[in-house]
Amino acid sequence: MSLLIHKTGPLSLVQDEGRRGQQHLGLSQGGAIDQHAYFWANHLLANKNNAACLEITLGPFIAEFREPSYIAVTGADLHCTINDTPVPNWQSHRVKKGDIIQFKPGNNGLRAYLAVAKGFHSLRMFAAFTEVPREQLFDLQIREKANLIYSPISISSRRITATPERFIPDYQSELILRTFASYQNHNFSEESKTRFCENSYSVKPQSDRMAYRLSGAILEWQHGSLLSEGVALGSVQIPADGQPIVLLNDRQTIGGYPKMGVVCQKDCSQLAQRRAGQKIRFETVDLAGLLPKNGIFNWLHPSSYSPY
Amino acid sequence: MHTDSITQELPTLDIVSENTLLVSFAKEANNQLPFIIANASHYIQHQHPQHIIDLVPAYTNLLLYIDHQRTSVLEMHTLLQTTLMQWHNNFSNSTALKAQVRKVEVPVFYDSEVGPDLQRIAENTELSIDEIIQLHQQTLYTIYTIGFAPGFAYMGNVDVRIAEPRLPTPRQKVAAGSVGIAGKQTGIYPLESPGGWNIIGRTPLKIIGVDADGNLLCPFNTGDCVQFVSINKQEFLAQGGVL
Repeated sequence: MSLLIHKTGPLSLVQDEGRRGQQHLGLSQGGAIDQHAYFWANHLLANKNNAACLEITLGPFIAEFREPSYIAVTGADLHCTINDTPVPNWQSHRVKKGDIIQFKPGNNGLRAYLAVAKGFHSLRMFAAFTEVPREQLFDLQIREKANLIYSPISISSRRITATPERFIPDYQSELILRTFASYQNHNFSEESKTRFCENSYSVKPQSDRMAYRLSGAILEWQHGSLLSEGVALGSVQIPADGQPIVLLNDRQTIGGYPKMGVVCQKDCSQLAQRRAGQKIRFETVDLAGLLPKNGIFNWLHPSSYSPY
Repeated sequence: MHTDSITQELPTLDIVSENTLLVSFAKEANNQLPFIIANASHYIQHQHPQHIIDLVPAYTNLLLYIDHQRTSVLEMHTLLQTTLMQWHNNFSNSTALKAQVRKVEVPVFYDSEVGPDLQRIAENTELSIDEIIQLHQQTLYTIYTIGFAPGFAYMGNVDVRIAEPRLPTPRQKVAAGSVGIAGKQTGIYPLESPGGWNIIGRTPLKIIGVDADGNLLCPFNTGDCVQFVSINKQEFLAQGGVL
């Protein structure tokens, strides 16, 4: 039972929800960088929330199913085809032995997620199916001729499922990053705080799974150097050049730059699909605006979504 | 470390994001704080094993990650205030604190063969290489935090006489096990990597590894004390050191 890889594209990784209980030793969180698309890929197949998926950046990616199963494709629109026939994104598909799946670079987003029923089996390290290439601790990058193992399932009983329209984002739209004002926010000047919310920023090419670098209005920090401290997913660092950096899944565990606040989780997922040159804006919000009434985060709760 | 004279105010608690909270213990760093923060970290973890999934101790504070698909940050904010008060009472009453400080011995082969910056520090400080080695290993260091890379422990404080600033241009390659100085801090590169610290020796000790269950093995934790012990080339090689 395996997926035989013919072509990988620039970066294809096995990912899950990310590591837990490892950051005190300096291990990054890792995990699927677009957790929204990753969640839906598993949800469509009734997989466990943390089942391992393939995160395919841009492609061209080509692979062959060695056994029948059900799969789901979500995230960036990388013109997915099965046996050269285009198949819709954000839904599940049935695959037969010998079917060839293909992803090619597109314009809407950077990273596609390919889930298989019951998840891929991969090396579980540091309590997760994830790899942070920067750490150089082990190398799980998917290569040509690799076989990714998956479990057999009973084929007859399943239905094709699709993501409701309101949960399908448009990665080409201008993105508003809802940011909770925390960390050193109160120590920035009123002028910098205003500038932060009133200007649009564009994504720099040097953006990756570790951080998204932005360029636009300069934000000034006037209080000298800080001691390093734990940096949450979505932390908006302001380095000496005044250009914000949003820290994502493969960020280091601690950092010493002043931080304007923290971008909410759902918007971090959206940011990770943006390409160099795309525009984003920041908006400071309170917690009530981010979470459902009971305060518990839920990918299915529509009230906590920004308008895509 | 003078654990018999520790005093600690009630830490403050702030919400950082939908799934993180920051516990702040002091404004400035000192060499007792890492132990205090590590102690609080263990206490909090024991009180909330289901809901707190990561704890990141740093110089003056502790970042807590909650499982926000199980609980809310507002609820945890309330619960943690009680937890912190309990910890604070227990901590102040504790008489067995001293015994809890863990000491890790790290053998180091201090030599220009593996310490390319020893000679330059000697020239800059007008100390002999032997004096530099003596000054580096006579201090019992405290681990302030772990970060930058897996297993990279920031230790202090280095004797002011050898507190050399970082290199103006970092090296492309620093060997695994290299022991370096950067201002008041000292540390060990767990793996070969680029780096800008002044390298004065190398340890044969494996700083990071992985066990059969896929867990990271690392001899260090924030709050531990580290004693460097000078070894010669034969001992370095016998203990598995690589030149």
